Amino acid sequence: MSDLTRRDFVKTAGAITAASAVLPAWAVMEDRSPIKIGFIGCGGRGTGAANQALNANSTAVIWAMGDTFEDRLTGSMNTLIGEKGDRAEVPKERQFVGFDAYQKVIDSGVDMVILTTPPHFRPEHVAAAVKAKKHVFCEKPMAVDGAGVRSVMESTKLATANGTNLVSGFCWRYNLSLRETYKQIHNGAIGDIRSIFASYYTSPLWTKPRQDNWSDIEWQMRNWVHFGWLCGDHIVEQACHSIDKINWAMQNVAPISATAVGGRQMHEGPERGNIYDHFGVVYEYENGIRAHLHCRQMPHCYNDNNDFIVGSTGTCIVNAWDGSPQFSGSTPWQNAHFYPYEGDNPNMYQVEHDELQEAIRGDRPTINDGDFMAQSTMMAILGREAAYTGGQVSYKDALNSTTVLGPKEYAFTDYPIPPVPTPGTTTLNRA
Amino acid sequence: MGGVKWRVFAILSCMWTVGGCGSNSEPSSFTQTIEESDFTFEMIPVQSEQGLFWIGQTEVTWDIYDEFLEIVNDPSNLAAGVDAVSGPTPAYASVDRGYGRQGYPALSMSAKAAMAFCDWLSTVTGRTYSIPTLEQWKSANIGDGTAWHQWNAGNTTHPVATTEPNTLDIYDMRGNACEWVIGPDGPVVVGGSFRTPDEELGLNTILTPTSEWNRTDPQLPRSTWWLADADFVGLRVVTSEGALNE
Repeated sequence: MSDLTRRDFVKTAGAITAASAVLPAWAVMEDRSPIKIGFIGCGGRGTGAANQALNANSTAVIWAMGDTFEDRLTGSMNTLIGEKGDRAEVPKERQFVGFDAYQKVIDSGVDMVILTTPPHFRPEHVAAAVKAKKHVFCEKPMAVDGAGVRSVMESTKLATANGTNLVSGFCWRYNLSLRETYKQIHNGAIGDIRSIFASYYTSPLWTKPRQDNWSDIEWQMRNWVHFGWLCGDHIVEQACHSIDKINWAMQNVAPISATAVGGRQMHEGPERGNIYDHFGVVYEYENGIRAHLHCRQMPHCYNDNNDFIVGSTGTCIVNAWDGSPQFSGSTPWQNAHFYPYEGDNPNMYQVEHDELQEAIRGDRPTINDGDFMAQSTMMAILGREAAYTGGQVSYKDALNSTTVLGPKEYAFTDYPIPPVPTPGTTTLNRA
Repeated sequence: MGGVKWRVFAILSCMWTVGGCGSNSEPSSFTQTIEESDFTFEMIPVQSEQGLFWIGQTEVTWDIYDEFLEIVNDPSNLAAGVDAVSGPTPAYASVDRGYGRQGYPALSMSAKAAMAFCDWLSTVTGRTYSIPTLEQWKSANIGDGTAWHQWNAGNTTHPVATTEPNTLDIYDMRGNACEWVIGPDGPVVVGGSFRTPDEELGLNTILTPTSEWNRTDPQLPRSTWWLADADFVGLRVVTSEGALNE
């Protein structure tokens, strides 16, 4: 791993010049000074991402950190110091706590930001970072409602105009084995795609017991994976990975509409919030293809995480957990292990940060994942809205919905758990 | 292991001794029940140079491991603090890898989690359970039986006890899932798994845990309870408090 993670970014001057030619001069860090990272949202995944960003280049530093909760920020920083020493030691004046911490991190002189708060806040944070011309790594999903996706689409355009990097946490796009697999699919290895089925069957996620001094908002934020306004429901928060792979197979063409079933059969108690525990969605495409997604978070049940992409001349099966995509049919092929780096099988979470920092340095073309990351997120929201309402919902209606989830202003106040949606009764707020 | 005091479970031993009650301190297998659970499992006596102990007839399955997970993650137990029950938080990814849940060996637990499971099992059974020592495991590995290994398993675990047992009537000592044991220098896994070639099963495969076993956990701190990249690791339990026929 060390060869990959502590890669030395010494490249020939010619390569740097060639890359620089297509980028605005200020967008490329030609001086090789340390990349200053702003880290916003200091949870477990965020801390992992920050560590990977530090792995990507031995001179990168965590310059500033922000979180709504001081204990989360401090715990995260201590963990990172344990891994990387003083490169993660952020002075007190650049530790920012509160709902507005993200803006202070962005304004602190950083080159790039890691955006890993609960997804509810992502569109606002992406917009602020892109507006300030910062390079961005943002975890999936990118939003929890159509309004958020529309904001991310605007940010994507601005990042394109500015030539800044926008890398998404849809990590399978950074898995070298799957890149090869989907490239072959797009080159016709299984013929024309006729149908897709994707599954994400897994167990319930963690809860943190409520403390007496926590307001509703604090309790919900610290248990964000169980509340629709914060996570978008588990289809958006977790199964979005499978939806993104559907979108990838379909060459990032959006479906026309979706129908879905879903409900809350096993979850009970306030600590399980207001989200569903299962969904089954059918996405309908203009060319008549249907893509099916099942996802479930229930205990004691059979689990798997597979994609079955059925083509006119063969089938591709992607098993996410054993990482060995294979084709059957006219061109059988199995990518059992893809070892591009002399025997090392790179960790896709690391590749995300290696490629981002290479692009920031100008050592590879600018990366802008904005279009597909917004669209995959929107597909997940569409599936959720179809299940919540019981209707056949069009992609456009879901995208343009007037729904804005969550409180109007952020403060540690009362906030009763919103009701669990009921199919046939809950309606889509059409624009 | 002189000086060990046997806890005698007279009722169980009467039920499970082949020779019937009253014959001569013959250790017998017994069925372990669990408080507030319908799940039971069989324990097999093993005479060894280190003394008598009982070992699980099968690898620990998800059925009982899930009960453990559920109890340690119950909100009221969490609220009571770590002293109440300590154990794995829910895993980030699905640690069963889609191989199967009901009747399949529990997988991907760290040594710490395996030991926490034994602590929990001890509290709900009244017997002191642990993972075996390497010497105990060797003593129970008598006769090969048949095994799920790399050449016949199809890249997945299988339900426990679906092969031929060994001479002591114990299943899957070799293959299916590797099993945690306490070695001279700390926890290691033995026995080989569905990923191990046939010829390397049993004591030919003793693996020491490395950071590679949890390389792709995307969170930091990485879980100390789950191994994101060790889907071949399971466990089996032992106790020295079995059923004696006296």
